Formats: sequence, structure tokens, C-alpha cells
Amino acid sequence: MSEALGFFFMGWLDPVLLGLTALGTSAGIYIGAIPGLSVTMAVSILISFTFSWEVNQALALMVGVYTGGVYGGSRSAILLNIPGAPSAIATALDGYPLAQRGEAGVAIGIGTVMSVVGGFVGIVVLALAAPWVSEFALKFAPRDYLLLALIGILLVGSLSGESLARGIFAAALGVLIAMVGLDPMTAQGRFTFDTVMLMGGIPYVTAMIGFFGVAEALMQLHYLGVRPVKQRVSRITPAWNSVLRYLPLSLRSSLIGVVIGALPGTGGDIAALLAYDHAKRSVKEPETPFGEGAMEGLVAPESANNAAIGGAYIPMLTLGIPGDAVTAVIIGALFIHGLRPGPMLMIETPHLFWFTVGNLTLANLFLLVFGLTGVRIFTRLIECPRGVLIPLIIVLSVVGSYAIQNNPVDVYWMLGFGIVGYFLRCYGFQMGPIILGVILGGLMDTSYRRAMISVQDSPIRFVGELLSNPLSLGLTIFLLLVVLRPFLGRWWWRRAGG
Amino acid sequence: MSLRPRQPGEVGFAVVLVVFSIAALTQSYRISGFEGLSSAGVFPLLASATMLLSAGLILWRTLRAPPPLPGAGGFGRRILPPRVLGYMGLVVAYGLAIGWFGFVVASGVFLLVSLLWLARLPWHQALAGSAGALLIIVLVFRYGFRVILP
Repeated sequence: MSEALGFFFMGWLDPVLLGLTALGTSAGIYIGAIPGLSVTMAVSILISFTFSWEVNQALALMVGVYTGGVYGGSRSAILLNIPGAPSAIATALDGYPLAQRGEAGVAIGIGTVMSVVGGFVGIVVLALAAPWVSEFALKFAPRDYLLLALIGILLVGSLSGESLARGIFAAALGVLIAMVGLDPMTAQGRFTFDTVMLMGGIPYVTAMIGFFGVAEALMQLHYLGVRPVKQRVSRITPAWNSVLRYLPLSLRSSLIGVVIGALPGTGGDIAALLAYDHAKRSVKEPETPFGEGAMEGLVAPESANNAAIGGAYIPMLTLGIPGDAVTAVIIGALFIHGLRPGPMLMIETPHLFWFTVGNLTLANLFLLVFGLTGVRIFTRLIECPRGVLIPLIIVLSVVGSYAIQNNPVDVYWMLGFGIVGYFLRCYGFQMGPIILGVILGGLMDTSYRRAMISVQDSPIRFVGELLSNPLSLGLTIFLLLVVLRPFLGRWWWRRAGG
Repeated sequence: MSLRPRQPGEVGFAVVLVVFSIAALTQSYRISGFEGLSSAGVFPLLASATMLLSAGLILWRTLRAPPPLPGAGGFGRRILPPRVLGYMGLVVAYGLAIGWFGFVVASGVFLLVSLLWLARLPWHQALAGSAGALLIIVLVFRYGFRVILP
């Protein structure tokens, strides 16, 4: 226990780690708030610069950016009615009407405090649940990892996109990108076309930067002429009685957020929307109707999306399955530093787990400080024109993709992925499933083949093991439900006479 | 199932996805054929077959969807307007120019052209902005993060 506490406070006592967490949180708030910059994009680019650092330093910065970024999206949602991040979409529904009534300051204040409350709930659940899940995950067979990875990818595809077919195509494309190079089990070339250049595979950071950075920058060209409406910001520190009044709703929403965040593949955006829906159902008589500036409509999503951060870390650290797109990118960072997230991480490197928990706590404290200060300068910065941001994103993406291997070919791959990603986005494809496919492709491939080798390539025995093992059976049923969800939904709708 | 109107060029894009998936499936088969269920080519085969199935479904749904709304603009306005096409060309030229002229020169010119074109800044501001941004990038990444620039 004392050892765990020592690891927990490691980031608090080391001035460099403390400074990096503060810097990351502060930068994350701005990155999350500026429309056109996303947390996933920022963390993807960061990996390429921090891979030569000591792992704790790299993680401190990334945890800060992640925590600050999820919160930062709410700032532009409230002030400009433009959610800076997908997790802030629900925040804009009541946050902007509050700002239109001249209560932007109060909205930012309450939003900040409730984000911090949500963040702490997520951290407590992470600290309590992760060791238990990790111990349980030791019983997982390769086929279970295959099923879990498939569930994660399909959940992202089905919940965040326009249609399941598009989600599945995107995920399979990501898996295919991950297959390029020499097979790790037999050293046989896959999609290498006998060129040495492709034998090492395509670095996933290159794909991430291309799909998230360049594609997003090109998409922003459509909104060059959109000018945000300027807002005036008053005093933002909320009154104590207001905090106490909304605390029960915040705690309930945080629990929703942490559970949704912990589901592989679902993140703060879905958590926030579900929490908003919960608030609408559970708060019968809000002072202002929902959608017209109800404070409850701001409290619920803000608590939930930050609580989802702690939740997302649970499957990432214990199973090696990312909870959302950002944790998918952070998994990439851990791999680069020679660490392998999964059940053995808690046994082999427990310091990393407790350090992450301590760091998340620290980032939330910084969030409170930075969230309640500097709003006036902030309002000017988030009005930065897209015409200035877009070229900067492109140059940073070039620097980031080159930094991984100092190979100019990676820059071409990255730009190519960016252009392909642009067209995919135009036609309603999401980038999340592609990146999850790239990250999890290798795990799925090796898990599947190990599972097949263990049953001597017999598909009948493979299915028999899926059905006879309770855990595998449960995961198979869940996977089928995810795949069949749209059809079941339609069937249910027809039966109900809709 | 929502039958939203098609986007301009969506049928063509779906066809490209199908063709790409067929090519991927063929290449996957060439890895190890149907040698065994745990061979190196099985997972690429599964992935590309999944792509082909979903691309086929996307194409079928796209063909069934109502045509693009009149007045909403065609492919050249909605999907690839001249500004996006031109900027894509600039980005590709920038990527190639890095190899020919080095990062600093290529990035400086790219930033300058972008600021003049997209941000519509006057010459002196665009020049100062691109030089300042480049200086910060070099200082932060080369000397702060110690990464090698292209």
C-alpha cells in the first residue's frame, strides 16, 4: 500500500513531472477548445516528439493534454456554440443558450467544477476496478482477446458513425494497414510487394497523424469563412450553494460516464450524450427548460465526459484494449516505450499504473486552477482563424511523422492517409475505427492464430471452445448483439408499431 | 435504415472501395492462399473479405438512396471545391519540396503561401507570421524536444 502511494505521488513530488502535467493540462484546454484541433490529433503528434523521453515524462504530458482537452471542448461549446471536441457536443445544447443570456461566466465556472468532480469519480473507479479487472483478465485465453478487440472495434464503428457497414469497413481497413510488413510469427511478407521499404510495416503513429491531423485540417477548409460570435465573460468562480445543488446530478452522471468510458471503444462523446439524456429524464422541473439554458443540461455532460477518462483507462491498462480513440493513441505511446498494456502490466510495472492514477488526479487539480482562470485571454485565442491553424497543423504533422523513424517515406504515407481520410470523412466514415483497427490489428491477428494453433486449426473445436467456456460464450453473445443491434433495433421498432 | 440523399460522387467512391477491396483480397490470397487456418495470410484474407462485403453493402445502399438534392451543389462544390483541391495540391507539393529543398525552406514557403491564400493576410504580416511560426517550430522541436527535422 505504501509502495502504491509512493508511485501515486511520484508525479506530484518531481518538479519536471509536475511541470509537464501542468503544461499538458493547460495546453490541452486550448487544444480542446480551438475548433479544428482535437485531443486525438494532439496526442498523436505528441507521441512522435516524446518517444525518446523517459516514459513517465511522456505519460505526464499526455495525461495532462487528454484531461485538459476533454474539458477544453466545453469552452468553445459554451462561448461559440462550436464544440471544440466531440465530447462537448451535448454541452453546447444548454451551454450556448446560457452564454446568450449573458451567463457564460457562470456556465464555465459550474462546467469546470463539475468536470473536476467527474474526473475524480473516474479516477476512484479506475483505482478500485483496474486491479480487479486485471486479475480477472489473467484468465483470458487468446480467443477472448480476439473477441474483446472485435467488440471494441465494432462498438466504435456502430456507435460513432453513420452506419455499421461504414464502421466495419473502416475498422477492416485499419486492420489491413496493420498487416503490412513482415509477419511477426513466420517472418513472411504481407503486402510488401517485395520492397524493403514496406517490410518494417507502416508505423501506426504515421497513420494516426494522417487520418486525424491532415484529414481534419483539410476538412476545416470547408469552414474557412465561418466567423464565431464574440461573447462577454463575467465572473466565473461558482457559488458554493450552486455546486452543492448540482452535485447529486453530477455524481450520477459521472457514474454513467465512467461505465460508458470503460466499455471498449466508447468514449466521452457517447457518455456525455447519455448523461444529458439521463438529466432530461430525471430532472423533472429545471429552472430553465432543457435546450434553452438549463444548468442541469450543462452539469450532466460535463461530469460524464471527464469521468469517462478514468473509465477509458480501465480496459486500456488492464486488457490492452483502448476505451476510446485517445487511449488507442496512448496505447501506441506505451508500445513505443517498450511497455505492453494488459493484465501483466499491473504485475510487471505496477508503478506505471499508480503513477497514471496519481497523474490523472494531479491533472484534475490543475484543471480546476486553469479552468477558473485566464478566460479573457482564452476567448481571444479560440477565435484564431482557421486559415492560420490549418497550415500549422500540416507542418506539425510533417514534423511528427518524420520524427518517428527519420524516414521521409513516412511523411508521404502520412500525407496519403490524410487525403484518403479526407474523402472517407466526406462520405460519412469515422476515423476512430480505422485507428483502432491499426492499433489492434496485430493483437487480433496473433490472438486468432494462437487460438487456432491451440485447436490444431480445427474450426469445429474453435467454435466448441467458444461455446463451452463461459467467458468466451459471454463475449461471443455480446459481440453478436453489437453486430445485430441495428437489425434488432428495427425489429423492435416494427413490433412496437413505430 | 435512413435513406439520406446521396452525396455527389458517392456512387463512384463506393465503386472505388469495392475495387480496392477486391485488389486487397487478391493480394491477401497471394500471401499464403488457403494453406491453413493459422497461416500468415488468413487474417489479411478475413480483413479484406470483410472490407469487400461492407463495401458491397455500402454501394448497394448508396445506389438505393435518393439522388443528391438539386441546388445542393455537385462534386466540385460539395466534396472537392477548388480551394480544397488546390490546397491538397499545395500539401503534396510541400511534401515533395521537403525532399528537394529541405524542411526550413519548404515549410517557410508553404506557410507563407498558406497564410496569403487561406488567412488572406497582407504580404508583410504573412511573411512575419510564417517566419515567426517556423522559428518557434525549429526552436521548440529541434532544441526543446530534440527531434530531427526532415
